[in-house]
Amino acid sequence: MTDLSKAVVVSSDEFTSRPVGSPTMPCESSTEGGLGLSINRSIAKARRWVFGHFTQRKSNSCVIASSRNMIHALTGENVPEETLRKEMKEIIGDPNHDFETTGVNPAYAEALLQKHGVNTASQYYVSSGNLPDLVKDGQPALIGFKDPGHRVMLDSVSIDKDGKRTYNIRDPDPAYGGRVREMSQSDFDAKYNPNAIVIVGKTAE
Amino acid sequence: MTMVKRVFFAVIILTLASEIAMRQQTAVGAGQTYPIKENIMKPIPDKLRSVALQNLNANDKAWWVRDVTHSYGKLDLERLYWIIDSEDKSITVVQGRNEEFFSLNGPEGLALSSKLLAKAYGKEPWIAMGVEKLGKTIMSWYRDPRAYILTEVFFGKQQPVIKSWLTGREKDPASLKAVCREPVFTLSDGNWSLDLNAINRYGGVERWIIQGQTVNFMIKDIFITKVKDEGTFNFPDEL
Repeated sequence: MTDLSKAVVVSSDEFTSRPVGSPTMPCESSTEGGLGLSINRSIAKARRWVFGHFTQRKSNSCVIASSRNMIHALTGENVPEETLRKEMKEIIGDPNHDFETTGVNPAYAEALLQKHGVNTASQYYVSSGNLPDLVKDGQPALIGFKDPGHRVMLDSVSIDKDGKRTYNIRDPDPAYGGRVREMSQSDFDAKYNPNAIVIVGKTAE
Repeated sequence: MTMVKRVFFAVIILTLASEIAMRQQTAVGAGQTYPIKENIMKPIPDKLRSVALQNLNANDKAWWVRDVTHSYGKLDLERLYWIIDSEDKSITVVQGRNEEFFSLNGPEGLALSSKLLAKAYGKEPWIAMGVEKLGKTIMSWYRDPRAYILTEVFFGKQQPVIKSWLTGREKDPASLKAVCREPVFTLSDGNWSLDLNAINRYGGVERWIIQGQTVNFMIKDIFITKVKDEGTFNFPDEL
């Protein structure tokens, strides 16, 4: 079976037998808009399954790319990174911001996400031990890595029968090719920066 | 099969087909599955690698090589690279017209930095660029671009996200405001001096005094003294 046909089957299964509360369909909606949203998200999920998530297009556009991935995951909207970069320049009030030499303060990502229909809740000083609770209901979180500072999306945390955790990270660094980066607790703790803002996203329904 | 499902399948197939077409257009080179970052550089030329090793660790597979050629105006060079290693150390390297590579970091890079600025911005770069941009450029090349000059304007612009700067040891915005001041630029007896406060990427604050000569613009000395320890504040920018 080709990747393409597998993706179609996966999307079809999700569309027809989605569980209530899944990331694909967080809540039931009988409205036309709700149906459209679920189709968009299913297509988006199929796209990620086949092609992977979006990688950053500029040296320092990790905040933009991770926001793009969250928007894509929660709304199905595929906003070009260039559009988001322009919007971020407006948000931070710097039309000349250079994404090659200068990073972005991730606290501004909240405004960018809200502009694209993602509700956010943010907090600081979240220990890695508390992250699984934040994403347990299927909502992803934007979190910060250190050395160097880098923004990624925590998709989920898997816990095996022995209690070992695996952090499933959508890292926009092109080195990971858009594929989920699976990190053990020790690998994750070596990179995670609890002083950086954690932004949990939810679809604005 | 319901009409909704048929439409759904059609949309998926069309979306994936257009995605495949786009990927084929953007793929560069055999075996490359995903569109790469626009300026990613592999392999790293040997000469660039040997210069970068002055500051960076040897694990060059983990280096992030950034092409910042167009980030500092029209400079007389072939390319300009900012490279970060896996331990977060960095270096800025010039590729000259003759395929030679030179580091701009540290005191050894001041002569070349001076020449590049003089050629691009004339005898008085502080006028052509403005004092803050001159200071930021020198700081970026001398050490690392991840720093901000602390001024009242800077502090004012951070108000919507001020909390992100205060997740280090210091929680009071007033303490950040207290280290913000206007850069002082002075000209005297053929010399110039720029005195400013800046926050570094480790959340520390430093006073930079940059001195030079006005005749044949030259940066001569840079003195950096600690104002606040690393970790006092948080440097929130991410790459």
